[in-house]
Amino acid sequence: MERDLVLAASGGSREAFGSLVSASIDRCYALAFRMLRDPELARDAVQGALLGAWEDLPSLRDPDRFDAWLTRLVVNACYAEARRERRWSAKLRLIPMDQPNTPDTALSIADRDELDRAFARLPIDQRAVVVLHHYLGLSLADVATTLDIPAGTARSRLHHAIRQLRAAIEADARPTTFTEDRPA
Amino acid sequence: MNKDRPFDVALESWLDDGPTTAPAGLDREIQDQLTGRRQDRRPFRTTRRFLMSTRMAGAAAAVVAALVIAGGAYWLGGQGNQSPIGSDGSPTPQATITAQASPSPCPPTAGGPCAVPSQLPTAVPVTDLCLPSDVSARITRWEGATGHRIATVELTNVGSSTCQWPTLDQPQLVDGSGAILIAGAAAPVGDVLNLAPGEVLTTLVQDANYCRQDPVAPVTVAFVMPGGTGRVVAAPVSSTDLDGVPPCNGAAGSPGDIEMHPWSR
Repeated sequence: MERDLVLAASGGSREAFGSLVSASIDRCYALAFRMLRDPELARDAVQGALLGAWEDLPSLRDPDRFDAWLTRLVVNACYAEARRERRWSAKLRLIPMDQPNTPDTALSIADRDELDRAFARLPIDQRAVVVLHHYLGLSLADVATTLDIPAGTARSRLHHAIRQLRAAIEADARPTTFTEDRPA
Repeated sequence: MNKDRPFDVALESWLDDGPTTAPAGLDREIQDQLTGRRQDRRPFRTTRRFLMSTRMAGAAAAVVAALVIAGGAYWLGGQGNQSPIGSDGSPTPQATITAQASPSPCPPTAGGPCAVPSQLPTAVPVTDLCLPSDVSARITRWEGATGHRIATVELTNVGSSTCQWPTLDQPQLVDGSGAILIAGAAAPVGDVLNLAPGEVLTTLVQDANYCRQDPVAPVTVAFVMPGGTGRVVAAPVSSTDLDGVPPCNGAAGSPGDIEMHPWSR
């Protein structure tokens, strides 16, 4: 079914591409949000990726690779958004205040805050590997294929990222405080 | 951290804790923007590649000509120290038609009005492009986002014939005195859209970080066409409108930022 839509969209059918957008936009947004940790940047990244997908779809040789191809476009769009974001010397960080404050036995609020901070410090290419591997569940080989990087590079990025995240959690002697990141 | 739980599981729990659906309306917004976007941009890519190849071919030809002339001069016993490239040894007429990105016409300062200088020729077939007098632009609304202001702009062909409008221009935020508050990057030569009489294109222009002196109302946006063929200033929402002035997020005097989406139907 998706293959037919990809072929039709590749041939210029906006309706078919619209169906592909509807089917994949949630996955794209979830991926972009986890890489960028900012709803506005994620929104921009998804928009850029999907509009770019429409323009470049005729260049996709294997319609069965659409999902992986689109994932790469989203990741690349996230890279671009992250580069854009770095230009700002100050950026208010959004905290989802309206989310239910459900207790979690695995991660304390302090742990989550440490992960938030540590993840934000990771280079965007390391974040991509973490999210593709630990959120989308891709194997490292598939991560490497998706990102078009050698498998060793994917492994190395994951290793460095996990080491930094783990170090942040294990050195969590700091008191929990949200005040400095709260929007004004 | 709960030490009896593997770190990977905790990390995955943290990653799972986030939105799994796109914001409402994003799907529709993207699909709306598909209208007017073309898939196949190969003719333009071909043109650019052709221009590049002709430049490289010209350079290669110049090198070959220089070698031939130098070798010939040496063989004929001429002066070995003469310039290897004679006046006839630089067959690079294509260099005059190479596509070049237009430089930013004005610094991002809040000084007086900034005149747009004439710019270099580009690969865009100028005869097909709309003239500024062929079109009319207006801002239909400003929206606020985190640190940003976003204008929805309409561009209408008010001329009597179909012409072409570049999908990307250089956006500028301008005030009522004509001062350019923020200047965006010069637009690369790229796709164009055919614009029939009465037809309307829309775009979004996003600006951020204005840290200079207070602007004069009304604030609006302008578009400098690639190739220096003109500049179009959009009519503001109202004569007193200052909604497009973004907050200052950086140090005083730090440069602002302005970008535009491609024009679409």
